[in-house]
Parts: sequence; structure tokens; C-alpha cells
Amino acid sequence: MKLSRREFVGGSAACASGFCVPGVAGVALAGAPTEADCIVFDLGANCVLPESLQGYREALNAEVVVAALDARRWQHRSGLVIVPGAGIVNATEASVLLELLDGGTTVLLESGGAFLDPKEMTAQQQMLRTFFDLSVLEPVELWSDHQCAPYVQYHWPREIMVRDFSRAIPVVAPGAETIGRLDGLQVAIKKLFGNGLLIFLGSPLGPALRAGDREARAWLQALAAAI
Amino acid sequence: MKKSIGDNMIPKGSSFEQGLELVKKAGYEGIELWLGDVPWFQMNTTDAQVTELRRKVENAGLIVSNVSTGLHWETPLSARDPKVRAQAIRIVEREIEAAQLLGCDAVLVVAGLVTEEIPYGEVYPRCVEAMQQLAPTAAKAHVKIGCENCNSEQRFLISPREFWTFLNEVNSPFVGLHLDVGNIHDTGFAEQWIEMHGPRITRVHLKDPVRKRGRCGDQPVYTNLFLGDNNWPAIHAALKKVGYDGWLIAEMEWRYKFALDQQFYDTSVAMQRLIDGRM
Repeated sequence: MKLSRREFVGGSAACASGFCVPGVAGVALAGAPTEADCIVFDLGANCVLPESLQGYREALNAEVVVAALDARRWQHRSGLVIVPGAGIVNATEASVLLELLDGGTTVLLESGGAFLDPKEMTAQQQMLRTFFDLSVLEPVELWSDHQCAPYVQYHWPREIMVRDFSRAIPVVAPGAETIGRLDGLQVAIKKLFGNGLLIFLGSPLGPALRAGDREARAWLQALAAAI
Repeated sequence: MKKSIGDNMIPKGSSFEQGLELVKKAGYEGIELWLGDVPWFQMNTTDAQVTELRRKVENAGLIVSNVSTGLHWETPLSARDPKVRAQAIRIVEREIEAAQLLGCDAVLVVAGLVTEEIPYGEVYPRCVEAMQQLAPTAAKAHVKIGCENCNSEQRFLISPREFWTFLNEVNSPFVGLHLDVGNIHDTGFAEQWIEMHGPRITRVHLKDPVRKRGRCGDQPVYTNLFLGDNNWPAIHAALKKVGYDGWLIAEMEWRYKFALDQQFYDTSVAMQRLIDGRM
């Protein structure tokens, strides 16, 4: 099932008519919104890597119905919410994600922090600590002394290697399980949060999805199947 | 066809005016201006200063054939960092603005670099998207963006068929191919690129490659026209076949060690023989 322009515009119109949580636009695919199991959050200006959003949207297009976001509809159901290329997530957006987590949703929060200015990165670090109890470190340049491509080694939801994205953000969180490492750095974790599951990716996956990377798509497919 | 040469060929120590005088005297009709590569034409050169460059070119009896830039080697449209991509877009926009001020209708862009770090799969969609974003600006300005085939150096769009597909996806009459017949060297044949792209060719860069050499070593890959391995009669015939009657621009990468001005004269004579088909 491919997303047509009309369907996309229709979804956007739904958002504009108040179908979405204020301040957070959902990227809509065709299908009944109430049946959707996966949505992609568009943070607008706070999405640092728009191509990542495009990657998730395209990758999920064939198998997942994506609805305009409505937190009330989502907070008591299982499902997957993806936040691609997150920059500074504001308090309203964070509270929506917290509500979703409380409702049993799996939230995949992909950081675009490595592409922020240092000041903005500090704001992201504070936001992640305050709302999600995540400690993220300074971005690491992966190619400064590398001879070959460093891959992120994921252990969950399946063993797979995905190409790096030049910079990565190591993450530390109490009670979290490491799901991905890169050069010994912990860059992907999952942790139970409220009644849901929070997944944090410190190495963006969306651009690889957009580039058609087979392993990145397999990882996402496995995640969709696991929730 | 008309003859032009880049202002980045002007010998160091010569002023822009002295360079123009040499270009004219050597028999060229036009000059290619390289944004960012010469002191007189930088990103911070004002509109008024660009207009002044045009005045100097015209006073010398020349025309600006096109605007080029090497800035995208350092600031590529295919960068992973969106901020770098934004700068790269701005460079193209400035090229277009300058082209309008200079009275020409074509700019050269190196569209995307595949590197060890940034794979082809990422570079391709970013470049299509960048060109689609820039096409309306180019159309509004009536300036064509010519994406240069840099083949082995760029490691991107290496075959003519691949380039054709890329331009189809961009899908704008204002985005075409700035063909460098020297850049193809061991990856194909310039005349086949000409035949395939025909009306999509915005400008043509000339230099002669020496095949079976790599750029990574200390052996020069490029030499003077007719001294290398390009099949110049075939290139002439292909240009004639597709009806190309635009600018031919000399881009001699291997410079003379002595009598630097002599390269301008020698190249101009060779270009004239190519244009006349006297080979």
C-alpha cells in the first residue's frame, strides 16, 4: 500500500483540523486512524533530520497504517510511536510521549542531537534527563580515526548490523537494557517506562531506511513484529 | 560553438584585468567565473562587485560563459549534516544570483560526493532532493544548473545511463548535465555521453585524459587537448549529431611549468581545430 499525495494531504488536513495533539503533527498514511498500530511523530522544526522521518515513513508504508496522532486514542493501547531525528523536544511534546508510555505504547525516540549546536544539545540532554531519566553524553565523531565503516551492532529485537551515521550519542539509563553498541559505546537502549517501553537510539537509523538499507529495514520490521 | 576558459587558469600574480586581456588575446570569446576559487569572486563578493566583474569582462570584449564552483567538494549537497547541506544549497543559489548579474544562463554544480563514510544509497536521494529544491529557483532566474560528471573523483553517477536516470528523477528542464569530456577517462566514452544527453547538456568542459592512470598517485591524469586518449573526432561528430552549439570551456588541470600564458594560446588553437573539425 503506497501513500499517495492525496492521502498524505488528507492526513495533513486531518491534523490541521484538530485531529492531532497540539504542537505535534502526525504523518498520516491511508487507512482508518483508529486501526493504526504505528505512527511517526513529526516534530516539525524540532526534527533535526527530516530525511530520517521520511525514512521511517517510507519503510513502514507497506505494512503499517499510520494515523494522525491523537493521544487520547493512543494512551490505552499498545502500538509503536516513532520520533525521528529528535532535536529539542519541548515540554508539550514530551508530555504527550509520557502519556503514550503510560498508556502502554512503545516509543522509539531517535536522537538527532549529534547534529545540534552545543547549546541545543545541552537542552536536549536536560529534556531527556528530566522527562525520561536518560543520560546522554556528548556526540562522538566516528570517522575521525576510522579505517572502515563502524557499524551499530544491534542485539534486539534481532541481531543485526546497521551502518553508522558519522556521529553517535552514547546513552546511560538506570534499569535500561543495551540493545545496540557501536565501537564499544552504548548507543541504543530499551527500558520499561510507565506501562510502555521506551527505546532510545543515539545513532540515527532513519536515513539508512531512506537509503533503502536492507538491515535497517529488517531491524525496524523486527521491532514492529516484537511489539 | 564558442570558446571559453576558466578564470582560475589566470596565472597567480596576475590581476583579473590582466587575465581578461590574456584570454581575449589568446582568441577566446568567453570566460568562466569560478565562485570561491579566485580572490575576486567569493561568497561574500557583493552584487555590486559582481556587476563590476561583468563590466570588466565586457570591457575586455568577452562574455561570461557560465559560473562554476569548486566549493561543493568541501561543502557537498550530500552531507549528512543538514546544516552543511543548507550551506551547499546556498552556494548554488549564489551561483544562480551571480549568473543573472553576469548575464549568463548556466551554472556548474558538483552534485554529491560518495565517500567511504557516506554511501551511495544516501547520496543519491539527497542529491535528487537538492536539485528538485533548487530547480524552481533556477527556472525563475532562467539559469540552468549543470550537474558535472566528475565520475571517479565523485564516485557518483559514473555511467551516462545512471546520470540519465538521475536527471529524469529530478525532472526539470532547468537541471541538466555540465559535461566534462575529460572526467570520463577509464569509465566510458565521452561521445556516448554526448549522444545520450544531447539537449540536456548545459556546457562542455574540455581536457584530455590519459587512460589507465589513477588520480591517487603522482601520475597526472590530464594533459593538453589532443595529447591524451579522448577520441576527439568522435567527440566532434557527437556534438554535431546532437546539435550542440554552446560553449566549450577549457579546464586544463595540468598547468605549464613555464611560460604560463602559452597554455592559453595552445589550448585556444586546439579548441578551434576541434570546433572546425580539423583533426
